[in-house]
Amino acid sequence: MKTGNALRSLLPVLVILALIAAVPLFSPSNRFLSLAISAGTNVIALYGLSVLFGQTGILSMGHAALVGVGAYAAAILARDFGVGFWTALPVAALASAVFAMIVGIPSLRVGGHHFVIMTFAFGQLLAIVLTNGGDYTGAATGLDIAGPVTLFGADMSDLTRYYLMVVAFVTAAAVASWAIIHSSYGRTLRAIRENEKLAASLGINVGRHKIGAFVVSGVFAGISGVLLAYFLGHISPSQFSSFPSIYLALMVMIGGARLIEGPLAGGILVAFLPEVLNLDPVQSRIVYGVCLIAVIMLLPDGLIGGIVRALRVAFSGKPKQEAECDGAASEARQ
Amino acid sequence: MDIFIQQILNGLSIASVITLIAIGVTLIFGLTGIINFAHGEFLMIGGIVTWLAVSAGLGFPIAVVLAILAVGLMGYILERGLFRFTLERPTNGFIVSLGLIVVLQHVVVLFWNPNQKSIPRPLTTVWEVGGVRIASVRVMVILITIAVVALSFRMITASRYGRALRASVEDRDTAALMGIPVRRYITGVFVLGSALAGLGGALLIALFPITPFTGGTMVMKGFAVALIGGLGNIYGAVAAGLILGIVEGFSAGYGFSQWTDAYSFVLMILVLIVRPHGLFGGTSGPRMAS
Amino acid sequence: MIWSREDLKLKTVLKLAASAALCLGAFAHPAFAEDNIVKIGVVAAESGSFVSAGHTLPAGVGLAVKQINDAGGFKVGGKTYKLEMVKRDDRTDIATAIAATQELVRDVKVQAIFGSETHDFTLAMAKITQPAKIIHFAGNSTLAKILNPDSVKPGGEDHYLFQSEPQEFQRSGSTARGVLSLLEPLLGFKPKKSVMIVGNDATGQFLSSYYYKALKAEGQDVPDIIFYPPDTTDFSPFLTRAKSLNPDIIHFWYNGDSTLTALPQALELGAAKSYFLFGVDPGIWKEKQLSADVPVAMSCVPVCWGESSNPKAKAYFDAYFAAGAPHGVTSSVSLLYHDYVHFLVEAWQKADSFDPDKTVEALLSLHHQGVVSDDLTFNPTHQVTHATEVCAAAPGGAISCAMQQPPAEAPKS
Repeated sequence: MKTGNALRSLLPVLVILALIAAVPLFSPSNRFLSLAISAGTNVIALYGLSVLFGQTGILSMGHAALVGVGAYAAAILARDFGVGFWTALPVAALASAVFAMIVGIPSLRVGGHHFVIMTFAFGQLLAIVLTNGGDYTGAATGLDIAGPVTLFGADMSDLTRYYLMVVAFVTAAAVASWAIIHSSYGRTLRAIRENEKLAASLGINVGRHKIGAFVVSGVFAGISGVLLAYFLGHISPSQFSSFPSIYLALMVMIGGARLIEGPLAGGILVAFLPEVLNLDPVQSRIVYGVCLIAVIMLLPDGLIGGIVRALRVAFSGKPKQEAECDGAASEARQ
Repeated sequence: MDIFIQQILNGLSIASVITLIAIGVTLIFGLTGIINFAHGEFLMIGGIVTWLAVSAGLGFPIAVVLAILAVGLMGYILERGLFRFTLERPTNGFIVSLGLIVVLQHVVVLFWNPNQKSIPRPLTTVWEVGGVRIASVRVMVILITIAVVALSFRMITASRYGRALRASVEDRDTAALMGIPVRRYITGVFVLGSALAGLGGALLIALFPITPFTGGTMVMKGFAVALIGGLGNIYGAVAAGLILGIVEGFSAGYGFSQWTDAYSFVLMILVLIVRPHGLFGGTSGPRMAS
Repeated sequence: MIWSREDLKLKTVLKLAASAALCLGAFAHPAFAEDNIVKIGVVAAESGSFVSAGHTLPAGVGLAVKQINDAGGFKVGGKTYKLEMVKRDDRTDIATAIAATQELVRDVKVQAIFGSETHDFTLAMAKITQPAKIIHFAGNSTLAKILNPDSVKPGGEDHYLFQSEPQEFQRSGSTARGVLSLLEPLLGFKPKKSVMIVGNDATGQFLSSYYYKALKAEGQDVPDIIFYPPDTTDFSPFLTRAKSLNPDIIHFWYNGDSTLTALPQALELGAAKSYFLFGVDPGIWKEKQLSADVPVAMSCVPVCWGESSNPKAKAYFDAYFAAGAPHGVTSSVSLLYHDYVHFLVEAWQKADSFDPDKTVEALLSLHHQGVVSDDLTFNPTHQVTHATEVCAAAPGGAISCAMQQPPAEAPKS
C-alpha cells in the first residue's frame, strides 16, 4: 500500500511534465520556449533546494552560488580542457557538491537563523572572488561557452530540442527528488527537520546528514548550472550572487518546498507571472512582493500546498477539519 | 602621518553609519527573533522622507524628526500587521521581509523615479587641521551615533523595562507567566529599531546621495556587524561596527581596494565559526520553552 | 466510491494542467509581414539596474525611426518602406534578454537588432542574431574581444555584428588628450600625475585598462588605479589613498551615478588639484547645479548635451528630449544608436536590397554623415572611428567643450 501511495504522489507531476513536453505541438512562440528553458533550469536547482529546505528544514540563501559553481565549471572545462556538455555534467555536479561541503561544514555549526546569513555571505563571497578572478574566471565580464550540445549526433541548439532536453532533465530531477522523499534517507531527513534533539537521541548523526543534504542540493544545482551555461552561451558573476539566491529561495517557498509539484509550480510562476500580467515592470514587482507576503502569511506550505489542501476540502465531502487531518497525515508520510 | 589620521577618521565615519544600522538589527533580531532583511529599506525610507521634507523647504532638523516618526510608525504598522504572525516561525518572517524589500523599493520607484536623490549638506564647513580634513557633517553623524548608542544602552540595561525585556529574551513563556507583557515589548523593540533605521537614513542622505536600492547593499553589513558583536548586545554592535569600519577604511585605503566588500563577510564567517554567539556574547534569538 | 479522493485530485490536476498548457501555447505569435513595413528590434534595459543607460536606446532609435518615416520613408527595390521599431525590455536580466532576442529574431522576424548596452547580454544575444543573419548593432566597445578579421569575414561567426562605439583605445585616447589639453590652461601648469578611480565591474575593468595606457602614452605618471566595489557610497578611504599620492588629476571612470556621489566627497577632502568625470554630461552638471573650487573635466559618450561644440548636437538633443526622453546622466548614449538607424537605411538603399550579405557589403563601403561625426565609417573589423567630446568647467562655472580626434594607432603597452 505504501508503494502504491508513493507512486500515486509521483503521478501528478509526471502528467504535468508530459503535458509540458507536449507544448511544442501547439507552436509556441520562441520567446515562450526561451523563457521556459530558463525556468526549467531554475526548477532543477529548486528540486535540490527542496531536498534541503523541504525535507531537512535548512534554508540556504546561497543556492545560486552553487548553480554558479556548476556553470563556471562547465565554462572552464570547455575552455581549458575541451570538455563538452555531457562530460561537464557530472564534473560540474561534483564541483558544486564539493563547494557545498566546504560551505556546509562551517555553516552548519551555527544554528538556524545564522545559517541563513552564513550561506548568504558565502554566496556574496563567491561573486566577489569571481569578479576579481582575473582572466581565469573572466573577471566581471564573465566567460563564454562555445560549442553546440549534441545528443546522439543531433544538434540541440534548436530551441524546441533544447526545451525537450530540459524537460527531460526536470523530469529526472523530479523523480530523483521523489525517490529521496520516499526513501528511508528521506525519512531520516524529515526526522531531523521535525526535532533534531530527538533524532540525535535515536542515533542519527545529525551533522553528517545535514551536510549530506546540502551536498545533494549541490548536485542538483551543478547540473542546473551546466544547462544554464550552455543555453545562455555567456555567464558572469552577477547571475549567481545574492539576489538570484533570494529569488530561488522565494520560488521554492511560493511553490511549496515539501510537495513534489512545488518546485515546478514555483519556477513556472515566477518566470511567467510578469509575462502573463504584462504589467509595467515596476508595478509587477510590487504585485509580486505583495503576493509573496500573502502566500507566506496565508499559505505557509506554498501555493501548491494550499491548492492541494483546498482540493482535499472540496472533494472530500468531509467536514473541513477531518479533511485537514487527512492532509496532515499524508504530509507526515511525506 | 596626516593621511593615516585621515584614514582613521574615514573609518570612524564609515563605522558610525554601519553601527546605526547594526544597532537596529541587533535589537530586533536579538530581542524579538525577527529577521527583518528589509531593515535596509527602512533606512532608505528614512532617507526619502528626509529628502521630501528638505525639498519641501523644511529644515534638516525637522526633516530628521519626521523621518524618525515616519519609519517608526511604519515599523509599528508592519509589526502589528505582519511580523507579529511570524513570531512562531521566524523563517517565514525572513521571507516576508524579502517580499517587503521588493515592495518598498518599487513603491518608491513608482512614486519617485529610480534616480539618485540628495539633499544639500546640512553643515558645510570643513575644518583643516594640519593636513587632515574634517567635515563637520561627518562629525555630526559620529556624535549623533554616540548619543543614540548611549541612550539605547541605558534603556536596555539600566531601566526596569530593559530588565523585563532581557527576561523575555531569556525565556519568553516564563516571562509572560511572570506578568511581563511580552508581545507589547516586542512591538516596542521593533518600533525602536525602526525609528533608529529612520534616523540612520536621515543621516545617510546628509552624507551621500541615495537611490531606492541603497538599502539593500547596506543591510548585509548591518547584519554582519550585529552577528559579529553578538545579537542583542549593543556594546558588541558598537565595537564590531568600529572594527569593521576601520578594517574597511584601511583595506580600501592601503590594501586591495576591490576586495573591500569581502572583508565584512569573511570576518563574519570567521567569527560565527569560532564564537557563534559573537565576539562579545549575545543571545541567539529568543527561545521559547518547548 | 468509484472515484477516490486521490483520483479526483488527479483529474483536477489534469484539467488545470491542460488548460494551462493551452493558455501558454497561446503565446504563439505567428509572424505576419505587413506590406512595406520593415521591423527593427531594440533590446534594452527599460527597467532594472541598467535603466539609466538602457532607456536611451529605444529613445534614440525611436527618434530616428520617426525622422525617417516623417520624411516619407525610404526606397528599396522600387518600393517605399517605412520603419517600425519593436522594443523589448530586458529587465537587466540575461534570461529575459535572450528570450526577447529569440522572440524578435524568430517570432517577430525583424531585419535588424539594436542593443543591448549591457555588454555581456550583447555577447549572449549575438549567439542568436548571428546564426540567423540578423544585422546587429551594439554600442559596446567590449565587442572588440570577439570582432577580429576571422570572425567578421563572410561566413564568420560575427559577420553581421557591428560595433557602434569607437574602439576603446581610440575613445580612451581621445578622452585622455582632451582632458589633459582642457585642464592645462585652467590649472595654470602642465599636469604630470594622474590617479584613476574605477568601479570594479566588467565595464570598469575593461575601460580602465585602455585609459591607463592612453594616459601613459600622453606622458602621464599614473601611480595607482583604485578599484572600488560597484555599490560603494563612502569613497573617503579611496579618495584619501589617492590624495596621498599627490595627484594633479583624479580620473573617475564609470559609472556616472557613483562618480556624482564621489565628487562632493573628493572636493571635501581636497583630494586633487583637478578632476575628470567620465560619462557625466555638462547637462547634468548644470541641472544638479554642481560646482567646484577646482577645474573639473567631463567627457561624453560620444557627444555632449547641455553644452557642445558639435553644431548638430543641440538640434539632436532638443528633438530627443522633446520626444519625451528624460534628462539622464547617459542621455548621449542614445547617439550610439540613432545615427546607425539612418546608416542602416542608407545601406539598404545603396544595396537596393534587404539581403543581409549585400547589406553588410554596403555598410562596409559607406561613409555616413551622422550627428556624431560627418564621416562615420566601419573599418574592416566592423568598428567605427570618430571623435569624442570633452568639456571642462572652470572654477567659476564657465564650461568649454572640444571634439577630440582619436589617435591613429593603439599605444604600445
